[in-house]
Amino acid sequence: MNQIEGKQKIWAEYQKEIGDDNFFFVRSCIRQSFFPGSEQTFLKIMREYLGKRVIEDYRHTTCTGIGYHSDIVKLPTIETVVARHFSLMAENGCENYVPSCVTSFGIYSEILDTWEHFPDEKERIAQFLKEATGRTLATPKNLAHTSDIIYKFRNEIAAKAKFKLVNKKTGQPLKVVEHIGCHYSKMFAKRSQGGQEFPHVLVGMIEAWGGEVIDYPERRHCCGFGFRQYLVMANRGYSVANSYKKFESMEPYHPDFIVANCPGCAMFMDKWQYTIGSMEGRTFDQEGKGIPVLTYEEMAGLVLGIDPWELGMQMHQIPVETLLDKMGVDYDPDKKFLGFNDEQLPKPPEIVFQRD
Amino acid sequence: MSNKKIVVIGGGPGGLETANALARLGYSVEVLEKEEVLGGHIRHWYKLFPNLKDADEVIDFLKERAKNPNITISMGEAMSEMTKNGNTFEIKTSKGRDITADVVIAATGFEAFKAERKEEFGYSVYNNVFTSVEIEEMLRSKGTVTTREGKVPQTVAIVHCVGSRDEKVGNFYCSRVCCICGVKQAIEIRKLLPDSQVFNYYMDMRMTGQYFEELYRESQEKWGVHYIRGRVSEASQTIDGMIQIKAEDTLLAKPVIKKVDMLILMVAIEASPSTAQIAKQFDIEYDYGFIRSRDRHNEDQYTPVDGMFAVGTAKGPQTLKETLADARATAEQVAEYLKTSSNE
Repeated sequence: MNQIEGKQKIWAEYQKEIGDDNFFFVRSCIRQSFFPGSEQTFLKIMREYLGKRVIEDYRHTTCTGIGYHSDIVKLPTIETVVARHFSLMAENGCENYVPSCVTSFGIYSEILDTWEHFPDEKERIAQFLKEATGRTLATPKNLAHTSDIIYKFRNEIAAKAKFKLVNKKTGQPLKVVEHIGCHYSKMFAKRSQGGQEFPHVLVGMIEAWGGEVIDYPERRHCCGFGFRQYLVMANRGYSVANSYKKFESMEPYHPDFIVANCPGCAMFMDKWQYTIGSMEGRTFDQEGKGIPVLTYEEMAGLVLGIDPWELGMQMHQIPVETLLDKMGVDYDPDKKFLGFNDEQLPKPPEIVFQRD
Repeated sequence: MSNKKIVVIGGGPGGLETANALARLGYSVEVLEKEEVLGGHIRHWYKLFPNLKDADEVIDFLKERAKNPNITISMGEAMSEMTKNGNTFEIKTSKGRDITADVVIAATGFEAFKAERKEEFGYSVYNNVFTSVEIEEMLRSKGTVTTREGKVPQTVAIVHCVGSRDEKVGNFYCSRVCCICGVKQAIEIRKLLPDSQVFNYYMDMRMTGQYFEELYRESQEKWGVHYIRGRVSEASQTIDGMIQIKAEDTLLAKPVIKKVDMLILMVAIEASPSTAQIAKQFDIEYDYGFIRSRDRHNEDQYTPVDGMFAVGTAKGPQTLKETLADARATAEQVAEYLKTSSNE
C-alpha cells in the first residue's frame, strides 16, 4: 500500500456531513484584522460563484473562545453566548451553522458534544438563555467550518478555475504545505474531514486545484500560537521557537506556499517568519523572501482569478508576489496599497532579510 | 468410549492440542478449520520466546499428534452459525453442512490489532512502519530484516503496547505477549545485523513468564538492545524516507526525537471475529469480545453455556505455552463432563 492509498483509507473513516445550501455564517474576531479579505472572499465565492444562500446577522458577537481558553470566561458563560448564537441562526431560518474561526468551531463542537452527553446541562443553559435574552435554545442541524464548505465545493471551484496551483514556467505542481488548526480536528476527529492525524480538508482543495501536498516531519507540530504561548508575553520566545521548528522541517522540501485553515496558524506562520527574518536574517525559502502563507479562501480566490489585492493579500507580512509570479497571476504592483476608492494607503518599507 | 459428538472450532495450537488430548483419551473429535492449513497464527511465526525455538517445531509436533484415527479435520470449513437446541448445538458450516454436536470447544483465538487504528504511527501510510506480525513473517520468509526498499536497517525502533493498555482505542487490558516478543525481535535483529541499533519504547516491561526476565536481561547485556521508558506520540517520514519518532523519555524527563530506518509496532491481541461472535451470541462476553469462562480459578475451561468450552486466546491474551497447557486441561475437563451420568 502506498502513502496515498493508506491516507485514503483513513480519510474514508472520517467523512463528515456538510450542508449544501442555506448557511448561517459567523465571523472570526481576529481574521477581520489580519486577513480582512478572506471572509469577504468566502461570501463572494459562495454567493457569486456557487449561487448559495449565506446569511449573516449583525447581532452575532465573539464566541468568547479566547477568553475561555485563557481562563477568563467560564464554561456556563460561553455556553450561554453560544446558545444565543444558535438562537440567532434559528431566527434567520437556517440550520447549517458555519463559523469562520477554527477556535470558534472547536468551541461550538465542544458545547454541542457536552449537551449531547449531558442533557441536564443543555436544559440549564436553555434556562440561562431564556432568563438573559428571552430567547429559545435551538441547535444546528449541521455544523461545518468554512474550510469544510470550500472543501465540499472544491470540484465546482476547480471547474471555474482561471489558474491552477501549477508553476506556469515549469508546468510542475506547486508544492504546498498545509497546516490544520488544532481545534479543527484534534479535539473531535469525527467532526473533521479526514481525521486528526492526516486531515483531508486542505489536501482535498490543493489536489483538486492542481497542487502537490508536502508531508514533512513536523507537519503536525504546533504553528506556535497555542494561546498561552503567545498571550503571555514572556512566553513569546517559545511561540517563535515552535514556528521555527516547523519552518526548518519544511525547508528541504522547497514549499511554494503554506496554507492554513485557522486564523491563528496563518497569522503566526506569516508574522513569525518576518520576526525570524528580522532577528536572524534567516528565511526558509530559496529566494530569501520568506514562504507566502495563505488562507484557504485566498488560495481559492487566486484559483478563481480574483485580484490578489481584492483578496487582501497586501496585508501579509511575507510578500506573496513570488507565488503570484509562479502561478502567472496578473497583478498591478502599483495597486497593491490602493484602497477600494483608489486612495493610497500607507506603504510599508520593502522588507530585506539579512543578518547583521 | 463415547458416541457423543465433539466439535472443536479452530485448528490453531489451542484447538489442535485439545483435539489431540481428547483423541488420546479415546474420544472422537471433529476440528473445523476455516483456513486450508492448520496452525493458526503460529504458522506465521519465526521463533518462539523465550528459548528461540523454531515455531515450525511446535506446528510439526501438533500436526503429527493429530494423525489419529479419532480426529477428523475439516479444512477450509468455518462455523457460520451456531445455536443451542436443548442439550445439543446446531452448527452450520461455510460449506453448507449441518452438524449436531453435544460438546463444542471454542478455539477461535485472536486477531492482531489493526495498527492503522493508531493513526499517529502512520502504519500503512509510511513505508517503513511495520507490525510485529510482519516482522515475524519477514524473518520466516527471508531470514533477515530489511526496509521495504530492501535496505539493511541501521536503526530500528520498537514501540510497545500498540492497541494494548490504551484508553484511546478502548483496550485497557495488557496483551501479555508483546513485551517479550519485542525483546525477542530486538535480539533477532541484533543477531542478524550486528551493526544495527535497536531501541524499545515501553511503558513497563512486563516479564511475566518463566525465563522472560532472563531474556530481557540478555538482550541488554549480550545484545546491547536499548530500552527507553516512554510512549511514542507520533511518527512521520523524513525527506530521505526515514521515520522520525517523537517520544518522551520519562526516566530522563526529556522529550526525544529520533530518526530510524524501521519502526516496528508491537500490536495487541484482540478477540477474533469468530470469538466475538460466539461471545456475543451466547451472552458470554467477558470484555473486549473475549469469551468468559465459568469461573476464572475453578472452572476456567468451561463457559457459562452447558456443553460449551473455550480454550486459549478465545478467552483473552495467553502465551503459546499457556494455550497448550489450557488445551490439555480443557480435554480433561471435557472428559470429566462427558463422564457424568447425565452427559455420557
